[in-house]
Amino acid sequence: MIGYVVQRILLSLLISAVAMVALFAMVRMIPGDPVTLMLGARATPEAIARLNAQMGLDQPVITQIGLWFSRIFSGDLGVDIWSQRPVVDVVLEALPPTLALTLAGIGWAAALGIPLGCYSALRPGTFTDQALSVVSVGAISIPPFVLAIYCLLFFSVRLGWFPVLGAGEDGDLADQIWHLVLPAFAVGLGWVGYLARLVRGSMIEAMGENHVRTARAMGLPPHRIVVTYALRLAIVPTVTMLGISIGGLLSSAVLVENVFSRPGLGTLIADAAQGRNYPVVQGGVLAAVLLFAIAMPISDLVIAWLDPRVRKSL
Amino acid sequence: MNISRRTVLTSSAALAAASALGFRPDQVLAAEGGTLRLAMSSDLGSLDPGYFTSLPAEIGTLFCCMPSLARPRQDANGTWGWEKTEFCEMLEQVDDLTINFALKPGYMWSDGAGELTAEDVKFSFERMIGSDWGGRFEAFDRVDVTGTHTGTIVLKTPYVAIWMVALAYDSGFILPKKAVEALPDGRLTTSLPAQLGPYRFQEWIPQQKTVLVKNPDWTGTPAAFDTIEFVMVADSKAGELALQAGELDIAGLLPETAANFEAAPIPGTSFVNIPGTYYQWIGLNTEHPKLADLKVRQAIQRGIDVESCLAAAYAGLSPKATGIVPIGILGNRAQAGYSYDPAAASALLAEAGVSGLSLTLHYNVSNNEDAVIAQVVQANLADIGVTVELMPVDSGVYWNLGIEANGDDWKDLQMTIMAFRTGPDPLDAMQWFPASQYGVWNWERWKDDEFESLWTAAISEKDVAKRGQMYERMQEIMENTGGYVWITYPAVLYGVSTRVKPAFYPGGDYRAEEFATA
Repeated sequence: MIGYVVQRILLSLLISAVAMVALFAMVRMIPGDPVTLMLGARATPEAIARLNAQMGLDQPVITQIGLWFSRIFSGDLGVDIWSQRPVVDVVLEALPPTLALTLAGIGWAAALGIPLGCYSALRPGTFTDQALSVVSVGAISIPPFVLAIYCLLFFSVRLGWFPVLGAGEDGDLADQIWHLVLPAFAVGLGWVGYLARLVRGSMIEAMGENHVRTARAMGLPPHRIVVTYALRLAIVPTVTMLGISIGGLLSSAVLVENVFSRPGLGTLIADAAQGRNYPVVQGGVLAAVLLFAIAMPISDLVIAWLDPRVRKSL
Repeated sequence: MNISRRTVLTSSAALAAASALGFRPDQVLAAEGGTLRLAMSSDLGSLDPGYFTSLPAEIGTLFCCMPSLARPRQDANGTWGWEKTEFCEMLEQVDDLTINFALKPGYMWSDGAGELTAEDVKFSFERMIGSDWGGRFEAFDRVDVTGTHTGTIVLKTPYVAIWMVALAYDSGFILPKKAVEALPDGRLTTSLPAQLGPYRFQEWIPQQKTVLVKNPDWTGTPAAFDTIEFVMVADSKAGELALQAGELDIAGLLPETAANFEAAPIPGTSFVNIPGTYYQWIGLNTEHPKLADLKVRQAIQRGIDVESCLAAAYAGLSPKATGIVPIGILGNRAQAGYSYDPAAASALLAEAGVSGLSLTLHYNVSNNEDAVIAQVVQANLADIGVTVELMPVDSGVYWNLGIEANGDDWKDLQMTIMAFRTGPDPLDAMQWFPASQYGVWNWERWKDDEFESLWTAAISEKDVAKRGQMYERMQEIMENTGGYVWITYPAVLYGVSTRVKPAFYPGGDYRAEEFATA
């Protein structure tokens, strides 16, 4: 088991290293001079020279690569070219709202989608099952940002129940949760449908497994058969999917953050890219890659915990 | 705590009833409790006048919290000029090279930074020379301090635009010398070490808002609000919805929604259309072999229906341009010297002996309006037998296309959709077209002796009317090259809560310190 954990962590580190190289190449591959692109072509020579020195672009490429990696490993992602703040601080400020939105979105989606999937699987072919299928596919089909706008129109403007903008006042948890409701709903709705469909399929398969039939034959209560024996097996593909879907979730969060004017990693990267603030773009993308790299081994370990067959094979 | 089905049903019913009765959760509503909430599309970058990115939140904060000698003011005709601020007892240009000033005594910086003095003025202006915005201070030599509160600004060469380009606008802020010198590298970032104005910068919450509060020690014109919040709203549609929900007092509108807003304003809001200070045109490379004949260029000038471009790209809400000096700025022309006339355009092409002409039109893909204009131009020119190939380009690459120093792309440029922004002085708009800009920003690639002499003379012309005429003539010369099809000065469009009376700087930036309750 320890070997498996080490293997997954090494894989994550490899993914992160490749991403870092890609990020380094990204700025160098931009057509034209990156500093001119950042400052605008009317920038003064003094400003261009200052930023070149600040970003280390006046050094030979080999030196730049060495500097880039040594800086990252020492936790230095450079400086925001406009505010002159360390990029690490900027990224760390943006991370919590994005994590909150992503976790809240996927959390409520899992809390509703998984039971709905089980419910459908236990009544295959019935009207309820078919109705849930239609609703699930409908939910999957609505892009989160479109849903976000309609949520704003209906729940915020028409009914006045929820705020339109921001993430709530610092230090006021209730206000922050209040601001999180609609964005999390918009991020999660598609996942409700997706998880419901995924769990339904897996559950139907699991309900036909030998150990489930044995449990039924032994007269165990139905809820225990479903939760302890069938769902534990059926949830494995869902956990795998959640692990690799972190990238997709972040993409949804980017669009939803934008509509709700919420702070977050997505808004940060989008704004920085628009302003050609490349150190911040690099820092933000690196943080997203690291999130992915962390989520992957965690989902693998959860699968190993859930499924004894996986544990045994290690 | 036990939650029964009865509890859930009772709570739901109570919530529904409260909603039906108009109860709103305890949200922060704009302009309530003396809070003015202004939408901003970009986050704060830097508050240093020498290094800021000239974003509205930065300019707005500095005008509210920092002193200056002069500020922009519109005359009765709507033309921008300047006036001295309440920090000044006297401010006058004695001759071409000398400006005397006297500060009112007794204005104290916050945070124990002492009194506002002439040394602060000297420090602030002289540090601008070597800053990122040093171009605005090229004619500036030094400030001679003649007393605690008095001094003389000395110019190297006559430069009447110094007022609107530097002193009275967003480069003219006075900084507290002692407090700034005490900073690690002598530069401001996203906070102010000491302040002096009707409001005080309280905090910046990254990606969310910049908060200013009423300055309790301020003895000048009283601040109208207890708090001003520049709220970051990345999405225009969300800003509009927040305005409707009462969370904002003012928000920018996209042209397509602004047209609906103007036709049927949402209750509690009004529509404001401010003349912008961007100027947009279609440039024709006068040296390109396909466009070398003046008659061909004149045909294109007459073959493009600018009204259609404006209707399609700006919902008809932006005015037709007459040159490069926008409305409200000295030198704005009453009308252009040509108009849409496809028959005349076809005749000119025939006179030039040109048929089956095909041209390329480069535009910046980041601007949605440019793409729409490009399509209208393509259709218009097809009507006179000119085929146009559209060439969308990323903004970073686009702004290097015509610069000789940045590659060879300029050799192939034929038509481009261009837009620059100007400050409230015509010199700022015109500076990109003299001979020195040939191959740099003059992508139309022409030189003209009369233009050069007018450009030089206008820099030191103190007679305002005469100076205005000079800039009008310079635009006429530009137009006569056939290198320009004037498009528009894109309007700045806002939805505004009827609870507030808005105020704006040239170009439509919020003049937050002059907003008032309605």
